[in-house]
Amino acid sequence: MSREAHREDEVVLEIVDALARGDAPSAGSTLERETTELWALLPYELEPAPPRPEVWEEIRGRLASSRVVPFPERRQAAPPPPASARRGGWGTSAMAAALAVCLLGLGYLLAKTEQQQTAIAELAARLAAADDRLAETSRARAQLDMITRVAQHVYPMHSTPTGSQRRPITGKVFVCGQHQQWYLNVQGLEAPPPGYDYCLWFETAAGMVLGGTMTVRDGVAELSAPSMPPGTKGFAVTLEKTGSHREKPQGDVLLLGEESISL
Amino acid sequence: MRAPEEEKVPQDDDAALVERVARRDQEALGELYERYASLLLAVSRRVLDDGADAEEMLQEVFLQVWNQAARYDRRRSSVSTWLVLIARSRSIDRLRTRQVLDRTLAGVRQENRGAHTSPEGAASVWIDQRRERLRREMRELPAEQRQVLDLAFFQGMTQSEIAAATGIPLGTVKTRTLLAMKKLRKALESDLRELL
Repeated sequence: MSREAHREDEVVLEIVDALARGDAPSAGSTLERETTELWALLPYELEPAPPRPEVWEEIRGRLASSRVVPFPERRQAAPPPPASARRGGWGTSAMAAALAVCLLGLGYLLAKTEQQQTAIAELAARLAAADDRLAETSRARAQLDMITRVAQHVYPMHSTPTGSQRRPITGKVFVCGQHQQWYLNVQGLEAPPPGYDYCLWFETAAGMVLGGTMTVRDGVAELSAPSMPPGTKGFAVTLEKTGSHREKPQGDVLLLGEESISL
Repeated sequence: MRAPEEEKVPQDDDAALVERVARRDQEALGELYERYASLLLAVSRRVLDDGADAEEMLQEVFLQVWNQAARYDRRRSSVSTWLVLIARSRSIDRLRTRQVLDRTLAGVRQENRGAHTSPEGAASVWIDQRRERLRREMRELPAEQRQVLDLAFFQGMTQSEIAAATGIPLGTVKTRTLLAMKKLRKALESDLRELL
């Protein structure tokens, strides 16, 4: 099987898993869209179950009870002016005054309604953005799930005595056999001192090769890439000065991982 | 002899109906209900195995459609898929809540499988045609491939969870899922084209 077809299969399985979990579909690739549509065709196999007529009536009842009464209806429902106001003389002036008050009130209500509509639209947009972020996170999680599931080797990393961290730190590098795709997860890291970065290094026969710089968020640092240098036999996490030459590690070694566990 | 022409899936109509629902058109919601209620109720009943619960779920689904029609995004899915995903997802959530409650109540739940008085169905011809095709293709699938699809769709289980629940190796679950999806994708190509 070609590498591309294999990757496509993996993507289909990830999408099926995401759909099984109930994640919302994203506006992604054609493959993703096709798989989603195919997934939703599955229940067509079932015997149709026409609901009782009362069900629709109940839905309509619930819609009616939750309906916001539109403005014109509220206006019609307003109580009529008092009878005394309809009688001549000062009554006409009172009516005019009442009308003016009503117009002012109407203007106020219209402005208020517009404000509320704007606020609702704003909230809807924020909700949609939050949905998008959630879908993005779900995809990232599915990707990580996939890496950790199909990993064939795990390199547990242990703290070194020279590590300057106060808290114990642990790390694992998951490596997929076929593509050498890897994912590093380090727990318990403190934020690096100002002017320093945490770096991941690959130990190869040709020397140490920089794997990347890590960002710490809530004590956790993650890093991943689709490939690693050939002949990698170990990993190290070091604390390096920002902007220093990154040809070889120069700072404190915090974590080392040399012995892999085959899964 | 010429074969009878198949009724085309009214995708554009569906999307237009959702747009009207977003503008608070109850008639449009009623039209969507006519088209899809039988399918969505079948999904809920299959997941929940309880007619009364499923009908309540159907109400919840259409109330959600009423309230969130403006959020429907045709780039993500067709309307029918959107509705099926809502019904499935809500039913599985309900099932899980019920399972927690059942455990808490230590099995005192009373079965409520009231007879379902089924009125005349309002399903469209194209839904029937699609159902026939799907059934034919599902019958063609080996039982073990159907099993993984069933567990994933109706029980909301991921491949790892299926492997853990059935004792089948994860690799085998993945292979079965893939084979089933590939066969169905090929067999239902015309349906997919209409939905995309």
